[in-house]
Amino acid sequence: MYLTGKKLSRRSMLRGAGAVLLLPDLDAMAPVIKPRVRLVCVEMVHGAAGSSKYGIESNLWAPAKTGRDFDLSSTSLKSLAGFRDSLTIVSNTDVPTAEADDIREFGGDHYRTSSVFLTQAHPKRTEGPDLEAGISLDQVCAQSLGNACPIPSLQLCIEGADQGCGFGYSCVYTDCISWAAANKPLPMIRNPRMVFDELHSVLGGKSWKEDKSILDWLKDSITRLRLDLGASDQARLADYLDHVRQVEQRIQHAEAAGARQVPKGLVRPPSGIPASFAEHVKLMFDLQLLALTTDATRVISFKLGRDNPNRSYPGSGIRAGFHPASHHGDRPDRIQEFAQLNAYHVGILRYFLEKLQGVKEDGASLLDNSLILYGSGMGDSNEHKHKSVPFFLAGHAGGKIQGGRHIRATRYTSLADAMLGVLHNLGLEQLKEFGDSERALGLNG
Amino acid sequence: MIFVVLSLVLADFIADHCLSCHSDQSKAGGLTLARFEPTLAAVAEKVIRKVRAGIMPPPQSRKVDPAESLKFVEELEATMDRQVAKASPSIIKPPSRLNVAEYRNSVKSLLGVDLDAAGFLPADTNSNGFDTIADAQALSTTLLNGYLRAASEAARIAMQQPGLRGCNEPCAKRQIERLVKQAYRGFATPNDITEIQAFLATVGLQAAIRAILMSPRFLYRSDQAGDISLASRISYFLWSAPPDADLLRLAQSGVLHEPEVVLKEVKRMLADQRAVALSKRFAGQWLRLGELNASELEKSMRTETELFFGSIVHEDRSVLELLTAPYSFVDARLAKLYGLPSSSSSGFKRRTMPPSRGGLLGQASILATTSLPERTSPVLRGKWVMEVLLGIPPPPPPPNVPSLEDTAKPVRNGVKQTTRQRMELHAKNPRCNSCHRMIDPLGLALENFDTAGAWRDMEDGGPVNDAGEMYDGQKLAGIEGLRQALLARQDLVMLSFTENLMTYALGRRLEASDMPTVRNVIRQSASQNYRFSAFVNAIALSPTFRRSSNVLDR
Repeated sequence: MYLTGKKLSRRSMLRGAGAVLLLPDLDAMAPVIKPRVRLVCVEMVHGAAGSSKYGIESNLWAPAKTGRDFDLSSTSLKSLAGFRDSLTIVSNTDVPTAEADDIREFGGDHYRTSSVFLTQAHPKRTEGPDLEAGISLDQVCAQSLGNACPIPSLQLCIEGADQGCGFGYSCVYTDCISWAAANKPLPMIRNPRMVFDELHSVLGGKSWKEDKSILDWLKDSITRLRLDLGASDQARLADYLDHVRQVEQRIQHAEAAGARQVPKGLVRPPSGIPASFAEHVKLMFDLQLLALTTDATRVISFKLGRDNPNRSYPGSGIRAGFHPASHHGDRPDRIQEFAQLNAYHVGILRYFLEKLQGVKEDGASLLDNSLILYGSGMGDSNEHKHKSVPFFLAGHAGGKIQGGRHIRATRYTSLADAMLGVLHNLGLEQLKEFGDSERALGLNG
Repeated sequence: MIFVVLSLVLADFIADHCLSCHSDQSKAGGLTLARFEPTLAAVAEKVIRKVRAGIMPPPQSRKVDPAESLKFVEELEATMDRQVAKASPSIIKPPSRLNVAEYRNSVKSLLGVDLDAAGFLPADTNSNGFDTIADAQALSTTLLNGYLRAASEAARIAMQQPGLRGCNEPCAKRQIERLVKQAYRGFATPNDITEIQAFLATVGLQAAIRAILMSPRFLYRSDQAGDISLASRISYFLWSAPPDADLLRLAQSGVLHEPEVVLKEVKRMLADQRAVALSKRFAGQWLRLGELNASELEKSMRTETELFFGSIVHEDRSVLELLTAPYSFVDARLAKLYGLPSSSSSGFKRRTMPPSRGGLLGQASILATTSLPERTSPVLRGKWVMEVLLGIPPPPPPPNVPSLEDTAKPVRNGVKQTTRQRMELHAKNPRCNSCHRMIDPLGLALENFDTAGAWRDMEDGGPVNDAGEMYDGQKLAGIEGLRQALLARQDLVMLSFTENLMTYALGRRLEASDMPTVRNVIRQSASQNYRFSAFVNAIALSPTFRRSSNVLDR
């Protein structure tokens, strides 16, 4: 068990490096895709009731039948029944890269699993800046799809970063699901006002003259500053300069694209975090819709929570806090209760799918042109297992993914296989590997 | 090359009390002490902590004379202190970037504009519980964009102020000179000023102010050698804000490094209103108050603890009073929660508290943040005491432990069970017991407080029982018992407090090589009855704080 874990980790490290080396070529590889395909990756944290033994037997997450003839009524996905033809449920996959590699990593699942979900790479246990996970799926796409729009990718979250990290793991492993490279986690935005401002800044109808002159001045000023500073200051300045250039690129993109039509009815939200979970999530979905319809970005990642909060969700009808509920002790009644919490969370996604379906472009709906990926790096939360993890796709990725299917993977299939399959359907057919996968799972089978 | 010979006292103790488990063969907890020598600073400091805490040698498996343990640990500490004194290691830390709170205060100090910085910038990444840790402060395009927008808003509002509104060209140049000097906190060169003045000529005053706020000279604090850096290090430590004119003047005249000058400045700054940052930021983060602001009651809970910590700072009280103080600060909401007669006046009043409420342990902020929505959690409370007050965080639970709900149902044989009864059943499981016998009694001692922190004599199943035994056998009964047990281990509490304060102040996680400094700070403070200012003074005078952190650059 240890040995397997170790091997996997070493392999995935090599692969991580490989992926980074591949990246400069992604531009050349990316074909001109029409229609414009969008990707939204949603992380639900800390597994699902349907990943426990009882939950699998009772079809609390994955339906009983595979293929096209599946029934959602027993599952936590039941509220999405109206979208069944757009769903691709992939069940029975594992996330071996989230397992402990050695004894010091035991019990650290809460602190590393979020960084594994989209990278499918084993994170290095460190509190320092010598971080190491892998490039995440959304970022592989952002570095090809995302280049077409001003904001290459957007990272959003719901819960604060003030608690719930540690045990020798840097907080970024719990805070961030998007990794631009193995050592580059991307911060997530929680404040809806900030998301709105971020989008608004590239939607046009304004002058970028002052921004551009300030960025120009900064470039000159930093170049002069660097001459008289020590090495660790130098490194920070180089990093700073790099991001100044990226902001510049955003503006160039936005200018080239011209002013966009901002949908009616969306006003700048007040600063601060909405107290209600559902309201916060819905507002974030509204903002994502704004981002996608205006083509401000085509790639979004969205973290719905954190592993370890005592937060309870009054709207779900379950009184227990999320974390205690997820440790259900393998008791059927409590597993059912946790399934109800899962169903409540999935239910809010229906709001987003309905909105996406309502937007028409080029004779199709925005849902047809998008792919929503929803899942967790944890399976049975009660025992912190990373087997049979919850995962499904919604949308058709511009016709590439047929949907209306439940695919049950063969035993020991890595979730990374499904993710490599996703990447192949997003115009990256040439990609040979992702995370610990070298073999894509077919999603139209 | 340093040779440190293991003294006979150390060698004997290790052979007699440690090696049977921590041998090359057994390696309990992954640790062997078979070839232990003090040059292995990280191992030595780990040993010191476990023996000081009385966790090792395991109290239930072998009886060691506490005096013998103490002698061992003191000698090992002295050995480590001597070793570091001989070769003080240099630790490299990247320059600190202003975090959200520091950014807000710095803009306010510079422009008099109080910006809602959290509405513009993504949240900071914490490390070791604090948002001041430089190597966790990564930059991102999102963040840079946030700075760009925040600067735009700040400059726009600033331009409406009398001094800047309608400023003609010579006036604007003068204003820019003043602002650059202040914004760069003593590091502005003539070139820096002319550079922005030239920019001013092409874009105007508002854009030039924005440029100042975007300069790395403003956003980063370079830890270079010398008094100028020291001024910022002190002011961001005590105020989370830039140095004021007085402090900068002392730095620029080159006298700030003199101990008596530092002490005088620290005294002045602790008395300043801006030192509230120590309560709102340092204490809030150390005590893990998190996001205690969802309701008016939660806001009151947070305010109580901030005001209470602030009283220790402003009245320069002993830090031990965090455990013992017979007073607190209570508004009408808390008076109701605590069952105190409500006062006629609105707002917070300093009140004498009954012994059952004295000190942090009786404050609702802590009792509520360590509870679950539907029941109290002796585990979370015990973990909080170990982590925050004793500085010995318990290991995370193995993933496959059955939960309390699983092993001990709320109703047993038709009789409702108290949380304690359920905990005790739960802890009978040997897989859980090795840690929970340490954690749970600390939390069970607080069972008289419900999930919101209100007093209760009865719980669901019957009367509350708050008795227990600490991991080393000391009897615990209720909040008073817990308080006494903590006071009996005040060395640990002071160690935890000092480590946290130093981590926050230095902007980096402490290394084993910092522990001699930590011990020295505690010794200095002990000689002054642990007064709050004694800790701050000792940290501000320590070579670790005064030395530039990126010495190798120079």
